[in-house]
Amino acid sequence: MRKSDFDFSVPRRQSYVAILIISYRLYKVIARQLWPFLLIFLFKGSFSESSTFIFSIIGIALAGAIYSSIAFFKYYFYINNETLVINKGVFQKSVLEIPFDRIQSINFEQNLIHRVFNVVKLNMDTAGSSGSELQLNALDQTLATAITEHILSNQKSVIQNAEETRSEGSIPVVDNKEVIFRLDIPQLLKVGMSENHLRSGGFILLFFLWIWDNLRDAGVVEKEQMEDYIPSPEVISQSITLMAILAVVFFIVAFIISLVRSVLKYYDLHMYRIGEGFIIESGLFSRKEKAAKDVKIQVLRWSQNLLQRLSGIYDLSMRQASSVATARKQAIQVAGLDKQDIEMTQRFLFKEDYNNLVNINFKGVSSYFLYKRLFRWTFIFVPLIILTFYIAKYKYFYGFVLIYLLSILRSVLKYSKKKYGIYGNVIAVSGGVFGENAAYSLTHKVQNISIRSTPFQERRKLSTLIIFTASGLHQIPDIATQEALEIKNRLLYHVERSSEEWM
Amino acid sequence: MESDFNNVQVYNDTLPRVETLDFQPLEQKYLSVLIIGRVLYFLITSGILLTLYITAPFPYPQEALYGVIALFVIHIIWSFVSTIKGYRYKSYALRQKDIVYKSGWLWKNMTTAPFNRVQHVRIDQGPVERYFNLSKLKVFTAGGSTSDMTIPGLSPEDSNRLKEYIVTQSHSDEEE
Repeated sequence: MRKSDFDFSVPRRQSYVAILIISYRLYKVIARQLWPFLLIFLFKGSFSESSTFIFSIIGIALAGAIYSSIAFFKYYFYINNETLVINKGVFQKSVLEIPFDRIQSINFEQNLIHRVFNVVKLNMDTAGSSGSELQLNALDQTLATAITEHILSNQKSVIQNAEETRSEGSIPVVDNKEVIFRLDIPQLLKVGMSENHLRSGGFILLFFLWIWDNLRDAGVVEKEQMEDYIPSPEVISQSITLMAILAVVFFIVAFIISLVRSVLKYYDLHMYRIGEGFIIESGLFSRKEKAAKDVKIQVLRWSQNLLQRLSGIYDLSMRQASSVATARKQAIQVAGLDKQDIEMTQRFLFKEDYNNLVNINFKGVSSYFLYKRLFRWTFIFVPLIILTFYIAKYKYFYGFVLIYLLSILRSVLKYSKKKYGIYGNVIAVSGGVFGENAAYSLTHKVQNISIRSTPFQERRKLSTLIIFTASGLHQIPDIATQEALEIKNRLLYHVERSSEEWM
Repeated sequence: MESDFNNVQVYNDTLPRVETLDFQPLEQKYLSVLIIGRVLYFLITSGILLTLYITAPFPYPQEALYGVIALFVIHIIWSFVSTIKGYRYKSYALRQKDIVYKSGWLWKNMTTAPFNRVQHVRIDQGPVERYFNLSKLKVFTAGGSTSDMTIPGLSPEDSNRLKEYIVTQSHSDEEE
C-alpha cells in the first residue's frame, strides 16, 4: 500500500496485534504485583489448595484478556484538521486531541511480539507537562510510516510559515539518514566486558536480599534458625572456603549478567545523523529507535570507567529537555565509541562552537574539596581503627585500615580530576574517580543559576556554583566566591542576550 | 544572525554584577508567619512526646530523661534563633532581565532566574499567610523542581506586581 491510499480522517483501530500487546502488558503488571504470593504458594501450597490456585490464575488471565479486547475495540484514532484525535477508555471514555505542531518527536519501537507480526509501536512526545506523551501500541509498518510522514509534512508547512528554518527536518523522517557510528560484534563484546560489573553484582545482591526478605515475611524461612547458630572452628574454615567459591561464582555471574545486558541493549547499534538531529537504533530482541534534535539536547556527557579506559572506549549520553515524567527516558545512550566518535558528536552538536572546545582552559577546584573529604574519612575511620587495634579485633582492624586508605585514594583522585572550564558558548565540567567523565552544555541552555555556601566554605571565601539546565545540572564545588560570581554574571549575560531557542 | 554576538569579547568588569544589587527585604509580618509555624510545630512535637511519656514508662535512668529534655530545649532555641536570623537574609532583587532571590543565615543560597527562561509564575497563600495578608510568589523555569524559586512574605499587591512584571518581561523577550 502506498501512503496516498490511507484516508486518515476515517477513525481506525490499531492492528489486531495490539490486543496481544495490551494483554501482555496487563499480565506483566499483574505478575509484578502478585508474584510474592505466587512464591508463597509454590513454597507452602498444599495439594488441596492447588486447584483453587490454578482456577484463580485462569480467572485472572481470562479477565485480563477480556479487558484487553474491550480496550482495543474502544480505541480509535483519526486525523482531523491537523490534529491527531484519539478516542479510548473502557470504564471512562476519554478523547485526546493533539495538534501536529505540539508533537516534538515520533519514535518507532519494536519488541519481539512486534517483530514477529511486523508491526511497530509509535511513541509521540509532546511539549507540555507530564502525561502528555502518547503511544500507539501496534500499527502496521506501512501505516505507521505513512502517518508519521503525514504529520511531519503538515507540521513542516506550519514551521515554514513561521520562517523558522532551524527546526526544518529536525524530526526523524525515515529516509535520507546517514550512518555516523555503528557498533560491530567485537566492539559490542568489548562494551559488555568493560561494563561496571560491580553494579550488576549489586543488583544480584539486592535481588536476593529482597527475595529473602519476602520469604521471611511469609514465614517460609525461620527467623531463629540463623540467630541461635554458633559455629565451631572447623565449620568456620569450611565456610571461608565456601565464601571464596561463592565470591568467584558471584563475580562470574555478575560478569555474565552485565555482558548479556549490554548485548541485549546495544546489539547492532546504529547512530544516524539526520537533518539537525540524531537517531539511535539498537537492541537484540526489542529494537528501540530514539531520536534527539540538536536544539533539544541540553547536556552532552561522556564517561569512561577504569576498564573502558584501558580498552579506549567511551559511553555517551545526550540528555534532552522534555516533560518531567519522561526525563529519564529522554537520555539517549550510546556505548563503545572511541575518541574520534566523541569529537564527531561534539562537532555536530556544537557547530561553530566546536572550535572553541580546544580553548577551554580547565581549572581545578579549591584544595578544600580534598581536605573536607580527608577530614571526613579520618573522623569516621581513625577512631574505629584505634578502637579495634586496642581491643585486638585484628580482622576488623585490617578491614578498616583498608577502607580508610581506599577512601583517601578515592578522595585524592576525585580532587585531581574535578575540573571545570567555560569558553565562548561552552560550559564543561569534568570529573571521575578511577574512570573519567565530562559534561558539556551550551551557555544558552542555562535555565537558572544558584550559588550556595556552607559556613565552612564561607570562612574560606568559597562557594558551590550550580548551573541548571532543562535536563540536569552542572555542579562546580568549592571555587572562590568571586570566581563563582564572575561565572554567574557571564552566563547570565549570555543567556539574557541570547535569542536562540533552548528547546 | 543571532550567533553574531557570540564572538564578541567580554570583559568581566564590564558585566552587570549581581552582588552589588540593592536587595529588597520581605514584609515584616512574614517573621510572625515563620514564628507561628515554628510554635505550631513545637506544640505538636512536644504534645506527641508528652503523650509518649505518659502512656509508656521511660525505660532508661532519670539522667537520660534530663538529657532528652535538654536536647529538645536546645533544638527549640536553635530553631527559633535560626528562623529569626534566617529571616533577615531572605531578600530579593529585580533587574531588567532577571530576578534574584537570596536566603540562608549560615547555609547561604542565591538563585537567579533570567526572565527569558521563566515558564510560568504562580501566587500561593497558606492559611496563616492569609490571616496576615501575605502571599508567596513561585517562579518556575525548566530547570527542575530543585531550581524553582519561591519568594515568600510578599504583600498581595507586591506579588501581583512582580508577577505582572515577570510575565511581561518574559513575553517581550520572545517578541524580539
